Amino acid sequence: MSRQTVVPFGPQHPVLPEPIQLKLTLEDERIVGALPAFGYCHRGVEKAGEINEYAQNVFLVERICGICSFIHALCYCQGIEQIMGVEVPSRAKYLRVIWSELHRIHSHLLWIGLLADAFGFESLFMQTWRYREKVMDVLEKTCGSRVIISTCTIGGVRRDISEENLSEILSTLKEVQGHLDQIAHVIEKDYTVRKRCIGVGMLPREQALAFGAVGPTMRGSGIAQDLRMTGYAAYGDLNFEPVVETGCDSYARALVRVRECYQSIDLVRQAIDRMPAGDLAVKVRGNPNGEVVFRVEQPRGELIYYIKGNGTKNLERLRVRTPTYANAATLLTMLPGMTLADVPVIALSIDPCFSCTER
Amino acid sequence: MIDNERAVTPQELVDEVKKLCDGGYRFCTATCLDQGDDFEIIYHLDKDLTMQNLRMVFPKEAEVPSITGVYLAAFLIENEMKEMFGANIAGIAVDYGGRLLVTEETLQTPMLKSVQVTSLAVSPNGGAQ
Repeated sequence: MSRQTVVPFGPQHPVLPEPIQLKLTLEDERIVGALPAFGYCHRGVEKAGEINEYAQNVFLVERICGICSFIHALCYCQGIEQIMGVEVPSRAKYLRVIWSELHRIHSHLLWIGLLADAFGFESLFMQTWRYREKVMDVLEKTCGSRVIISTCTIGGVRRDISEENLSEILSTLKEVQGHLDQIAHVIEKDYTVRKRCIGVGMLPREQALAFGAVGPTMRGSGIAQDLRMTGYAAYGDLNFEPVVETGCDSYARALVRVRECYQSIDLVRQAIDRMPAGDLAVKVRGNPNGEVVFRVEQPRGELIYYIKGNGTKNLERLRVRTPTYANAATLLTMLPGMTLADVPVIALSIDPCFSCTER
Repeated sequence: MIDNERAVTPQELVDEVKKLCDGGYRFCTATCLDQGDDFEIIYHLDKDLTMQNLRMVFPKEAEVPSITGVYLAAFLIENEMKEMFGANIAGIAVDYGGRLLVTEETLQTPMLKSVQVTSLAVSPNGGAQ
C-alpha cells in the first residue's frame, strides 16, 4: 500500500470563491478519502430569525446568499403566507417568477464562468461573466440594486415592473440567448471542457438518491425532480419540464445548467406574456400561528424552510436547509478514486455556496 | 402539525427510516426544536416531490440513535443538532465532536431557548454576546 498523505484543500483556494476545507487523503495522486470541514462563515441566521420580528426576517433571509437572495425571500414569504392563509395577487406571483428566473440565469452563468476558471479556460470565464452582467443590469433597472433586490414581501411584491422595463428584459434576454448559443457550443464541443469533465466526479442515480443530492446535481444523474413542478408562485400556469441529463458526471451537471439557462429565458418570456394586471400585494394582519415546511427550487436545488409561529410577532423556530447542505455530502462519494487535479472541477460541479450552507 | 407527519419513538426511529429508505425516499433534512424539558426532531424525507415527516419527541438528557447507518447524508444535520442544541445523538458515522460550525471560543449550544442572545455584535473573544 502506498503511503497516505492528507492534503488540506482550502479554506482559501483560487477556485473556491467561498471558504471550505476539504481534507483529502491521498495515495500518490489518487484520492482515497475526503471530508469537508465547515465553520468559516457561520452567522447564526436561524437564531437571529427567532430574535427578529417575523416581518423583519424577509430582509434577514435574503442576506443568506448573494446569488439567490430573492429566492430565499420567496421561500420564506410563501411559508409565512401558507401559515397565515394569505392569497397573493396573481400579478405578484408572475413577478416572483420573473425575478426568480433572472436570478437563476445569472447564477448559472456565474457558475459556468467559475468552472471555466477552475480548469484555466480564462476566455470562457470572462465571456460568461460579461453576459451575466447584462442580466445583473436588468435586475438593477427593475429593482434598484444588483444583488439583494428586496422586492419580495409577505403578501406579494414591493414593486412592479413597467412595460418599458419588461420590453428591455425581453430584448436583453434575446441578446443573452445569442451569446448563450456560443457558450453552449463551447461547453458541448470543446476538447478541454470534455476532457476535464466527462467521467469526472461520477454520481450514479442510486448514489444521488442515497446521498440526498438535489437540483442540477441530482438531475445530472437522471432524476427528473424539480420543485418548480409543484407549481408554487405562478409556475403552475407555465409550461415547464425539468432538464435532465444521464451522464452522472461533471459534464452532465454542466449541461443541465446550460440547458436551464435556456429554460429560464423561456419561463421569463412566458411569465411576461401571461402576466395579468392587478395588485402587487395584499395587506397582512396578525401573527403567524402554526408550522409549515415550504420548498422552492434555487439555482443549486431544493431549498427548504421550516417555519413555526406561536401567534406572536417572533417565530418559535426558523430552519433553513440550503441545497449545498444536501449536495456537500455527495463529495464523499464523488471524490474518492479521482486525482488531486480533478478536485476543483468536482467540487465546483455541485455549484457550492457556503454562505448559504453555514447560514 | 405539518402535512404527512407521524410520530415515532427513539426505539422505532431507525427501523422507520429504513422502511422509508427501502421505499425509495430521499433524506432531505431534519429540524430540531427546543420544547422545554424535551427536544423534538422532525425528519423530512421526500419521494416524487411529496414529503414524509417523522416527528420524535424525547427528554433532553436521553440518548437517541443516529440514522447515518441508513442515510450517510444525515451526518451533517445530526452533527449540527448535537452542536447547536446539545442533542445527545449517538453513533453518527462522521462525528465532528461538536465542532462543525462553531469553535471553543464561541457561544455553545446557541439554539437552546435558555441561551439568550441579547446582541448579535461580536465580543472580543469572537463569540456573540
